[in-house]
Amino acid sequence: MGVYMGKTAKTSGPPGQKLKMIKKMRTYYLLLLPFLAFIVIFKYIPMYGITLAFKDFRVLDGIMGSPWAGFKYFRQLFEAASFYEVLRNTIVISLKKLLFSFPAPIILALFINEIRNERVKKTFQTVSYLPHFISWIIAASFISDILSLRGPINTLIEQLGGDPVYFMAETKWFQPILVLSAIWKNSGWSSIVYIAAITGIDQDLYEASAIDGAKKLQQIWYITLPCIRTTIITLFILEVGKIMSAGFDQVYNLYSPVVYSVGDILDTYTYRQGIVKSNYSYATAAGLFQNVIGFILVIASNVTVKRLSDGEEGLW
Amino acid sequence: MTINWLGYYTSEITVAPDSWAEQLLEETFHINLEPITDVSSANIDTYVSSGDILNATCYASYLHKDFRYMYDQGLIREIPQEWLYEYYPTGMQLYTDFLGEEFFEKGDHLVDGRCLYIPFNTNAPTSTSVVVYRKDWMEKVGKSEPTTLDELHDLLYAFTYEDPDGNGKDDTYGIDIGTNWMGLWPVYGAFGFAQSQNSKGSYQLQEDGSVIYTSVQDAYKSALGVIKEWYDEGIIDPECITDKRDQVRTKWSNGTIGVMVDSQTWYYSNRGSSSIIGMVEDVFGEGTVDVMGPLTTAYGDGTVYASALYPNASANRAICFTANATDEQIIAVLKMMEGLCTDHELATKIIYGEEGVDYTLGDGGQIQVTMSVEDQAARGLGDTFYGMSAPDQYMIELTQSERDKANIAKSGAWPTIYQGNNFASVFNEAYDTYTGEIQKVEEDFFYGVLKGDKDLEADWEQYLADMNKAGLDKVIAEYEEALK
Repeated sequence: MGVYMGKTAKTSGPPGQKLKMIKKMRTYYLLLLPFLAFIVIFKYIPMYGITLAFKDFRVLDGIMGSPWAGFKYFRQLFEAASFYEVLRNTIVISLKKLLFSFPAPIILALFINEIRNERVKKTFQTVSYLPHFISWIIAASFISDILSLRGPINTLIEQLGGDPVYFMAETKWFQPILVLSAIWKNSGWSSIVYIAAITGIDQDLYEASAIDGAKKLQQIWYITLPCIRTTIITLFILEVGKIMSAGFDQVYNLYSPVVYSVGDILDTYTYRQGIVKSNYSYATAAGLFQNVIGFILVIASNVTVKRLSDGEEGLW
Repeated sequence: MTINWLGYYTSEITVAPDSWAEQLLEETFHINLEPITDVSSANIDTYVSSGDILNATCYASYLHKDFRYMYDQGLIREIPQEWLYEYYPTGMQLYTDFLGEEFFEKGDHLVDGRCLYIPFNTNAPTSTSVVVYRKDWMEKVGKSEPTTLDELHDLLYAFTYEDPDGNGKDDTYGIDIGTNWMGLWPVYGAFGFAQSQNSKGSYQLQEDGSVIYTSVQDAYKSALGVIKEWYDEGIIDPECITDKRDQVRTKWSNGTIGVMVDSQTWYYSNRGSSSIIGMVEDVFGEGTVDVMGPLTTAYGDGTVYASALYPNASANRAICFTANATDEQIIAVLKMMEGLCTDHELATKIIYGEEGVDYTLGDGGQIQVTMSVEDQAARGLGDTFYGMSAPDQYMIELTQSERDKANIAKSGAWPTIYQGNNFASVFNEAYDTYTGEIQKVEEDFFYGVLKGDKDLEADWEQYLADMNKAGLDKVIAEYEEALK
């Protein structure tokens, strides 16, 4: 359906022909309608709230009625003593996640795809999805317990003759903990898309390559990965767009003042400075800043991908 | 008359409709209460900021600064002061007895000169923190109750290294200060200053009219030096860096630490197993916990001071009225509060419920709450209408056991130190803007020193510069200007 509709969208012709096509495809358009409505109502209409960033918000006057404040809250944000530290942390954590967490579900999907026993495969899939359904507040408590000075990891370290490590309070460990816990929690769920893409690959390609003497790793390298390249690129571009948002739930539940220097990100900073103190204009300014950068990154990565693939890949 | 009531609850429990307590109030005062049932402490901020609070009439707030914010935002209205004395005379007399005549005029209660809420305080004269310790451990290690800061140090040392629980394992610590640094006030107090309720720095008004911030004073530097020594000795649980208040309490209740500091309201026996004494004695036996009396020290003037809130009637749960509340509605609530002040039996029912159903009476005739907070909320008890009742001597007698009274007397003997002014009632834009940054620099330096990443002596000047860069000098200047 996706391919067909894609072609339809590119069809240029007289309006009557377009209407005819729409009429013919009305069931699909009707199916699309609730999702379009959802996006319009919950994504586009609330965008007028962005004006909060430029206003001295007064609840009783509402967003439209509050007086304009110009770039006051952006100046406040950029002049904040720890803004650049927070910005740096956000980018560094996101890049590390992109580097390590992004490939993890792909590798997991490839691994799951190679499991031949269906029961084992299903069990493995289910187990790998489970952490996704645990909220970060529970997961953080679990991670903190495991990594505490009296937790199992340190018990093991001590039994092996080492000194206990205060993982949750060491700046050098905090970012690795974020990356590893993100991999643990999200890889299983994220692998679903890749598994679906792999399932769609024509099996004849594998049979033909086997006849030509291709080994398993060669099949993965020359067939599987190229065939799911579009999916990987699409998700990669979307992930790049999230670089300015390094994961509020995860960081908020795992960090403490002692690791602010490496763990405080724009989301948590904005939460403390803006939301907790009811400074909504400031919080909106910070959120808008994040979104604009994210938007630019998505555009830039899409352009880059298109250039590198001679226009064959990319989101649009 | 209908009053839309936005109740207060400490946990994420919403107020129940048509509860037992609500019906009792309605019958007694011939009023219709309509509780707002979909708001809890988890979403109250969103509720307020959305403007939906105007659906309420009466609102039991939980942070003093909220009143100013809500008034500035046009969400709540001013209450004519004379109405308080006219319709709520008994309650006002209680506060006058505590705060002194003309406490309104002195500004102890007003926000920027306006009365925005009905005075309220849970335990007005005694809002200090309390040091509790494991008495059984102390006896096991052959010590007696400390009377000096050095003896407290020695006790913490013994609790850490002399196997006070006798299990043969090195698994105990002296104290866990937690991320709110509450456990540190005896050390700060030894240097003659008090931190804020969360034990971070506090603003203090000096006699000459200047305002200081405690955490940049030489006394703080000296105190931090002692804390660092204690931390390096290992007598402070190293996990204090990430332990939040509930984790500290868990370690206290499971026998990991031998000394704990918490606010006074948490050790009253009527809280049962959730009191900081009950949570240990339920597991390890009666008499295993005691309250520590005042200490002396070799530092400063030789006194160890306790931290205390500035005395005012603005504690959490005070009631305010939304901007659209009518004069008649306000007067009706004031009359209801007066009724609860003069009818102790009714007030007891509204807060604690019925004997045998919601609570039992202890040996001394004191109330022992037997219900969970969820069950209390379903009955409309506990915090739901708590803000309407002023705590007087009758209620104190009803809820405090002889042991509580002895403990209060003992902990109350610590000389207290106040901020010199009710800073929460003073508008300070710089404070609102820069506090987050200031606290971040303060915490960074504190933990840096503790962990050895920073040197107290070598990095002190840089720390002072960083605090001012974060906006501290601007906050102080604005306070000094406002308090002239």
